Amino acid sequence: MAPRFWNILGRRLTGEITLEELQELEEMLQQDPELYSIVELHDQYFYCPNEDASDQEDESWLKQQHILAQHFPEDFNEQQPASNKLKNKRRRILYYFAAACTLLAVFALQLFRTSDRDIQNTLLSTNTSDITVNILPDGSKVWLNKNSRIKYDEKFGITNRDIHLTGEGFFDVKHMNELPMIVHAGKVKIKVLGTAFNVKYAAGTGKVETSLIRGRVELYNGEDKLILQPNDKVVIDENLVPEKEHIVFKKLNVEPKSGLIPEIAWINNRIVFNEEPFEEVAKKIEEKYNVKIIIEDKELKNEKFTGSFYDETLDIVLTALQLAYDFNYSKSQDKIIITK
Amino acid sequence: MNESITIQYYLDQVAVQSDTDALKKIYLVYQKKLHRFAMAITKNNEIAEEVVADVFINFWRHRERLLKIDNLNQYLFISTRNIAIRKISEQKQDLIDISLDTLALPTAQISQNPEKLLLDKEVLEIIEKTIASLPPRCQLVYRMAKQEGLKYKEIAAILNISVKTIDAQMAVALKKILSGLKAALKV
Repeated sequence: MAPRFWNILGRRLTGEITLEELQELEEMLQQDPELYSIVELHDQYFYCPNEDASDQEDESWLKQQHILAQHFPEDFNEQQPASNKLKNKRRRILYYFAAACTLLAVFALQLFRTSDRDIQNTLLSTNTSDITVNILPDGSKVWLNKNSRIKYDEKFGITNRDIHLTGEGFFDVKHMNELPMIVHAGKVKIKVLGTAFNVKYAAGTGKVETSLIRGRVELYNGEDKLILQPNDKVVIDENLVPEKEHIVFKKLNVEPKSGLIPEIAWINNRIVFNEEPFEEVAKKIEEKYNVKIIIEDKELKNEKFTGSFYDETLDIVLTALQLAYDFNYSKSQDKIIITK
Repeated sequence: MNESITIQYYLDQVAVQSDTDALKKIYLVYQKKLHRFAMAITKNNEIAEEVVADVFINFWRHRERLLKIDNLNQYLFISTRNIAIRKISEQKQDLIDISLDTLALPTAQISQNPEKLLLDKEVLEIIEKTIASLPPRCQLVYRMAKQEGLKYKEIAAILNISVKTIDAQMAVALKKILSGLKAALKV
């Protein structure tokens, strides 16, 4: 393998790879499947959680606390918790006061802003069969999946970088220190400086999926603020109860054979599955081929599948799936019915 | 759960509200990592413990400044490095500079929980053995990235080397580890 291969392989491990490099790596790995499987094995080692939380930890904190108390008796001495609290309280009041001032300033600014009317909005949308790549006024790139749209106003890239998304988009955001980009997807706001990430939000579903490939993003869901690291995926689904379970953290997984990350495979017009139940597989096929798939067998729905498809016809895809699972299918108009 | 997601919150809590519970949270995330790094420099468990204690004394003393930190990893590791160098310089009564070839980062205790462990024991042993046989500088860079979860830029700032050097060292490490695995799995 070329020296460059080893360089970008290393950068991928620490999440510092660019999208272009990721695609390059994928092409190189496809030429050497044996090496690919070893890379996969090593990935698991590299990411393997390697530390045990133990009782020793609390003990070491007690020690540290004792040392801190010698230097800062007013902050760490348990004998005087009252004065400590008072001090904290004073700070807190100051903090709230500062927050209130900021809020007031923001409010005033808003008033000022909304007074200049006639703001022109730009709307970009895709139909049911095309994926588009768009360059935004600030130089950022957005891939828009089928049936998706984004909206921003004429001040975009000048005084704001607010963008509204419905559907699915992959953002490769240009770094602008003073002006973060804010992607609005339903009730979720995603704040970024310069990164690459994918957002999926089907209008009206209350479910927003954010996958971070590189850089750092901040996610706001009401009062919750989350910070994502590369390879983090967060699913916020407000339909889930209780409330705390709205938010689910995952890690992005590369599908072994193709070297692709399922969440962003659509950019290359691919669909990729990594240990996904047949039901989810069917959903992705529905989106790509614009058909309706009905799985009549309950057991079949939960069968797991790993693999990827590119430009194959629907029949080839279905035949390939049949090799993995024993099933029959029949087509009628736009519907495909799957039976055991 | 991903610790890094909440760490920024704790940092704000320490800086703005002098929240000692938040300090504890940050301490627990970093204590082992910083101790290992201090060990690499001082080669002495007791001194390494003192170093980490001092790091957190400084951290608390200057907590108002914490809001200005844009990289906590870098801040804490560099703080550890500086204090460790100062301690051994004091001890030897001479200004000591660290040479990367003498730094050996101790191995982290690997979790024995079989659910967390996705690899066969055999594969694990092969990888560990290969890492142990890497040249010191190469091993250090690899462990900083893997074990301590640091970015290239962070490692570069902490060790005072260029990102290019890290690229090169990581490439050597990966080449050796992967070819070691390849050979072992073929037998």
